[in-house]
Amino acid sequence: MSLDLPEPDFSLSEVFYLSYSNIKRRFFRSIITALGIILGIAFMAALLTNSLILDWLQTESGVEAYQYWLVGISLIVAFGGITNSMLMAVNERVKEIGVYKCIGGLDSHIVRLFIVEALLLGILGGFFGAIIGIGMGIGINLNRASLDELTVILEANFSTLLILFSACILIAIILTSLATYIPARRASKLSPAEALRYEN
Amino acid sequence: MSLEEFVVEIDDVHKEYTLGKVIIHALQGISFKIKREEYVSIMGPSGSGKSTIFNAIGGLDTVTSGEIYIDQVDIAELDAYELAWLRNRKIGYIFQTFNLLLAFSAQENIEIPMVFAGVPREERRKKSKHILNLVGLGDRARNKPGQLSGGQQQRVAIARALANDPAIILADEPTANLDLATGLEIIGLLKKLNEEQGTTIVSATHDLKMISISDRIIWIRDGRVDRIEDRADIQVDAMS
Repeated sequence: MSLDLPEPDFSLSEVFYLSYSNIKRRFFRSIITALGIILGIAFMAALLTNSLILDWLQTESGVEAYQYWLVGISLIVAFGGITNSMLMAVNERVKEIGVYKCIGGLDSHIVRLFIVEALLLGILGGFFGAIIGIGMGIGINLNRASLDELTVILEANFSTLLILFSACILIAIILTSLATYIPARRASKLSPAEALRYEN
Repeated sequence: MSLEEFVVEIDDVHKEYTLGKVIIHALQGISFKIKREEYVSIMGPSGSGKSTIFNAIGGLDTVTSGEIYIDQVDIAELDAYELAWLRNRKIGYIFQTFNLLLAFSAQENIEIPMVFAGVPREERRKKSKHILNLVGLGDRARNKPGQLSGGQQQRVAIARALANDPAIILADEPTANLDLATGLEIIGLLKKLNEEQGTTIVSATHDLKMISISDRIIWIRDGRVDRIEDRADIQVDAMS
């Protein structure tokens, strides 16, 4: 028996359109998920910024060990918040994955759809999370130094802030993609009948 | 494509699964054949194995043993990629709960199987419009499933099933979530497609309204074929 199967063309623009529609349709759900990401990233960014500024202001030692602790915790919080949001978001859509499988979606198609959605949310969440977080990190230091002092320091270390900003977005993207890829991959491996029967 | 006589052949199919510590024998040696352009209803009480047969024929679930041929292809020998292709091109599914993609309009729902099949955009637009008209929803193309009634959603599902000109349409209780009149409309539409387009239709159902329009009825009881009736026989039964 030979099935002559051509490789189906599932172009990136197609994937983007489908993913975008899914985000739009689940607008409020997507907002909640994005808020989870924003919160995690903002917390992390705020603590990191605060730690950097303390460093630049060269405040007395002794604060450092405490700062490392906080940064470590903020990473864990970001990781937990983002993974939780994304795992939930995929888990409540296993039935939808079953429908995609019934109408001929390949496992890889389905995973791609979810990953692109996660990327969009990750970029969005990371961007706003970083802005809010860095802003807050600067804000909480206003009682330690005057605005003029801070401006000078921030301008001098602008490239470091930029790296921090990019790192926040990158972490958001990596965490959202990973926390989506694993459950989406697992769900797409189910037989369509199992996926359709799936109850949350 | 060769016009083989049988589009579905299933031979001695068994399906077992475990529920806790109990082994459930859902199918215990089911065999039947379905001819091209036939309208067959699989009937039986709840829990008799209708849906399990639906999943087995549709390649939606694996079976424990036995052979299933769709269009001369043994689906047990297909890998995941080929199975997806089969579900995409050879089989159209209709479900009790419609199972439309809620994020997309009626027309987009019909286009997505074509996206997976790699049909170019222009052709997709044209064909989905045509199919929507065929099921009587030409004016509802832009509506999302949430804005459609149950009967209309099932029409969209039927249209989606037709998207890639499948060899067979499988329906699992297509009228169970619809009221009497809407159910009759859906049955009428399926029959029309069967007669006018020559679509082979296999429907698992316990809706007795299906009896009068089916070419054959396969009665299932406790995971076995109880009896197979031709329409001619049924009419004789009714008269006697």
